[in-house]
Amino acid sequence: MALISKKELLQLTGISYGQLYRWKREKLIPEEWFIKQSAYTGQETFFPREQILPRIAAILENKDKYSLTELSRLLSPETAPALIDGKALSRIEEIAPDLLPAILYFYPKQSYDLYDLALFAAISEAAERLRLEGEQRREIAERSISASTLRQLDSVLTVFAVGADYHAVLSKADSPLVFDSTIHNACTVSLSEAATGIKMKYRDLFPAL
Amino acid sequence: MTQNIHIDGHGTFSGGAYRSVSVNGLGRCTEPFTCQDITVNGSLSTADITAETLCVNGHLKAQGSITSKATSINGMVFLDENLRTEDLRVDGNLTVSGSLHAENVRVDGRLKCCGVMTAGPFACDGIASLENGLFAQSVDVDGVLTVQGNIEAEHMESDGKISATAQISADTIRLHGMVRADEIVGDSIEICYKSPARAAASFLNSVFGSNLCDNTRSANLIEATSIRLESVCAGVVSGEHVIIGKNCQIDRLDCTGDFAIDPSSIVRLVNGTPYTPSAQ
Repeated sequence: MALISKKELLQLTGISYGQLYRWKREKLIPEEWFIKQSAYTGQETFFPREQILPRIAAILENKDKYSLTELSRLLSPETAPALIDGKALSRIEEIAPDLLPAILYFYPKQSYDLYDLALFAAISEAAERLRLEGEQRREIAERSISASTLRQLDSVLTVFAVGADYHAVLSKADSPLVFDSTIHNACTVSLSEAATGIKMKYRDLFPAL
Repeated sequence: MTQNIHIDGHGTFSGGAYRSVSVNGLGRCTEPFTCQDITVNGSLSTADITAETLCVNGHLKAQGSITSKATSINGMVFLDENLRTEDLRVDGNLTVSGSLHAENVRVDGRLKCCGVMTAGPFACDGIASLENGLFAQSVDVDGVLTVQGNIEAEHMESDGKISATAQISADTIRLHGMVRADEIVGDSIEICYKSPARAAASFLNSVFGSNLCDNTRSANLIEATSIRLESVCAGVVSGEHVIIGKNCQIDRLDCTGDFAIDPSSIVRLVNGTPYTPSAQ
């Protein structure tokens, strides 16, 4: 890993010690990037060259446009809370693309967490397994979202048909639902399994998950 | 529920929502409860408490967390978990085993926090001992502040004693008392080290002509855009504009801009080359 010394960094970028330490306090520069090593002059601090230079450039360019907290969220997923925004949702293959507009409409949020992703993936899976089409798919997305008030990863999504209508239930994983004999098409998807799958698969893309 | 709880002798009450809770005797509640205001003049042992105002003149032990708007402690308070409050005044003794988050903090008594402490303005005229770092907007110490970990603030000012095991980092730092940390960094740092030991030594020296000196290092590294030091012993001082005032002992000065060194101070290396006062 190519390193650049603190002194050289300040010289190259023209920033001051005050700015460097202020940005470190504001989490714009991760603490892990401050690498202490013994040099002939004593203990010196170095930074990963490939990462620190673009970061300083980005901060300098945007510091007048955004507040420091906004900047911290924008600049690096690893220092921001573990959330991904609406646009990044389309990169999750488990979430059916045709359901995305409905999801974003019925559940608009600035950023979604792992529970949300697991829920959307579960909805997509259930819709797929039950071979739902068009309007039914959007309807079940809306209903499933409206049922998710507990927000516990340790739950399952059950989609079932009453006559021609499809409905959704979110229940605890350890309490299986038993339907009456008139209910036929029922499909249960585990949210925790979906969550684990997403976390593993997208670990590189969304390290904050 | 607009029920009030009033305990004069021995009493136990159950969890729930109350308006006013006042304990003059010996009280106990093993379930979480919420209330408008709670005053403890006697002794109370609880689980979680959520209140608007909490005032302890006696003794409170909470096996849980406390969330309140205004917290005033004149007696002794022990928390097993976290404290979250807007206004915190400690005139007595407060021990928080978990984390402490308060908007405004004023410590005139003793504060101990085992977890992370975050605050807005933090003022300490008493004794504060924080075991997992202090992250505040401003730090004003006339008493004693001892931190394990880092102290981070926008502004720091002290006439008392501050010590941190790791780094003190703030935009502006004005210390006119005692300070000890591994690193002191920021934008503008002014340290005028005053300690009873040094004052005593200089008095004895002036009376007896002795040569006592106190060489306790304030920091291994002091680094900022502008630095002004007096009576400071440090390892490396590094900055853009540096003024080494009287009676300093510095191992190494690295300055990328202008600097001045008082004749009474000792600086071993300046920008890599050995420094002799006559060279100035």
